Amino acid sequence: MANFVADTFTDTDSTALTAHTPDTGGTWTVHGSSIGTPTVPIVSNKLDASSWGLYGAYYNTATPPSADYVVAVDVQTDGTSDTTSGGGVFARLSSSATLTGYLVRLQAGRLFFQKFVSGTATTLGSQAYSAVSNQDYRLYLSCIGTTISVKCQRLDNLNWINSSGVEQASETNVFSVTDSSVTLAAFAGIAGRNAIYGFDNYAAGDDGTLSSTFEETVTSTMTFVENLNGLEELVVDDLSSLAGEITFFNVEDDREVPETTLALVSTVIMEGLIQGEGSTLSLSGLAVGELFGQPELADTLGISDVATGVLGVPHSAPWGVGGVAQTLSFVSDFTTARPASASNTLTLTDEAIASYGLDSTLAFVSTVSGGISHPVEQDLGITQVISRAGSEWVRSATSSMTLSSSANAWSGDDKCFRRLGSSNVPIAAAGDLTLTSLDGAYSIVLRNPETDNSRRTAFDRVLRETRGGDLIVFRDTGWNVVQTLLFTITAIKTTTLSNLQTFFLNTLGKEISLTDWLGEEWTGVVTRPDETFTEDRDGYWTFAFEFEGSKADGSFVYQNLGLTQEVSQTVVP
Amino acid sequence: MLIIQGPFPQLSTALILPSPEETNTQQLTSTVQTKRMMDGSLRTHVKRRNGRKKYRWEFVVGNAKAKEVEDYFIANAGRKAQAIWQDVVYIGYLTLNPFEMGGQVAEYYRITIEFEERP
Repeated sequence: MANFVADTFTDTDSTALTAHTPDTGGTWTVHGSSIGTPTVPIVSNKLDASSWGLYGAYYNTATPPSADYVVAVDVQTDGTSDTTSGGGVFARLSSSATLTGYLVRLQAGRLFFQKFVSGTATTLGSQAYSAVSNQDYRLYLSCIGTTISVKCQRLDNLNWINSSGVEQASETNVFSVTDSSVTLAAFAGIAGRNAIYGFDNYAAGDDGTLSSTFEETVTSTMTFVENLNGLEELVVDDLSSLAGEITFFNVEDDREVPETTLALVSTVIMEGLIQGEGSTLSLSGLAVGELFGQPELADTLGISDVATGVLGVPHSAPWGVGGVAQTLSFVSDFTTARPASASNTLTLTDEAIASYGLDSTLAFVSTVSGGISHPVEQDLGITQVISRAGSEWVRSATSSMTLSSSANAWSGDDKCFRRLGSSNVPIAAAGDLTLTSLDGAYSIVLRNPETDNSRRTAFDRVLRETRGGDLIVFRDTGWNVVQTLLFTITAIKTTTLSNLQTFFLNTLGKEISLTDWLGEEWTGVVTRPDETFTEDRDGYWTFAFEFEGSKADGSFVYQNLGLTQEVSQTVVP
Repeated sequence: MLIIQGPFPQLSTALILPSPEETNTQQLTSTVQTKRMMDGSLRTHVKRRNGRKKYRWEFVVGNAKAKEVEDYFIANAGRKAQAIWQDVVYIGYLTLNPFEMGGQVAEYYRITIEFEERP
């Protein structure tokens, strides 16, 4: 969750707090309850409170989303036991000069927890502790409903101060009370009195988990896009290069959401008269050695995507770190019309290593589409491995992989080579007659037609008989060939009849796709939607219709699918 | 039982006929004309006719009923009618012209009614 106020007090030395712009939130404003006008400057990117003087307070003008939030700050003591000094944070602080709100302040050797209602102060808690000189402590003031609590963590050893003022390793509250005196969604503030402390890393979050106080999203994105477009050009040539050296690509100071994205996209789009096209997106690594006797020569090309989260580092969210997710995605897509050959290779490795909760997902799609082409081959190889080395408590490892592969090819002109590959393995042979509009919006499945179906092929040609009785026949290879399919379907029910008529009306005059009982697909038009439906028996109809179109070849292509899946486990007894 | 009432909507006459013979038909009135271009592409010209359908029923009725049908045709020729068949109401026109009674066998006639929807 986002912070509505966050400030690391990063600014030029001697900048007054009121002139400083926080990382997130509004401006810092002197609270009317202050005695005098405190002028607290920023020194060395911290709030130097040594000259704070008498009691003074600031509030940030950012309005919290609700009354439930947590405010926190790092406070540094100098170890002097000055009980009149102290510094801390306000929550639910009204902007009125008469104080209303909750305050926790830390001084050398004691923590004070107070509430103010219209200027009347009430001590909710006071606890002594063993202060360490020049040590940073982090104060948390949490206001969730009527539960008001305080935590304090020493930042060099990450110990927490408990309700007895003793340090302990586990997280705990110093104070926790139920109080409904101040319920306003008022401001977050900071306060000091004769302060001799430095303040840093101020944050106020809008929910009850302190992780929101420290939420930071670090994003690094590098995108390289190369586009090539051509329209009716014989040669379109565009060479773009991305040269340079990236010696350091790092995300530092991750707190909760580290994110890095590296994307390379290369696209070629050509329309019209195409003579040649090419799109190359390459990442290459080269190492050349010329000196004789050079013992080692290495060339490594690595693409990696890493997200790492560490629990418990200083300044991290002490209420728990979110999960670490890693996604590495590749898409390789090569589609072109009328290629001499088409080849597409996609190689991918995805690895996850964790001390517990092993989860590995590997997914990709490989597609080859060829126009008038002879070889259309698709090889899809996958290896997925999960291995774990032992825990005597959890002894299971799973690996699941779902894979699909498809390839299509069609040959429009050269009928001699229309069927590629195995001829006895049609891709689809559902045994039905399926009509589908090309946009996929309408579809109907019919029973197989009667065996008197016919396929008619008509040619444009010229026949002439000369005076001498010779027969001259001419046909140009470019002249039309019209293929017509005629089907008669019997015993279709009235509901199917109605659906079929609706389909005809929705696709009237438009090209549709027809897939027959052998899996062959045709594209064409129903030319006689007005044919007669005859009710032979009560509720059962006979119908004949005519379809004119052309066959979409490519039902038979090579398709090889290789798959390896391995699960191994070593159990520590 | 098939009932024909007319003229629509002021129904003043009802013609009650027995159930038609099997092999009754229905068809869409929408049509598609195809034209093949020189480049092999196909162009279509359609007449949708609002998805109207045409029905055809055949009956074998007695002499008197056949003449009753004939009287109906004479009285309501060209007028919109309403047909009720299998609990479905169709509104349209009796389109068969000429109306013919044929196949007379021992006082029985075979008649055909063609009905085109026109809501």
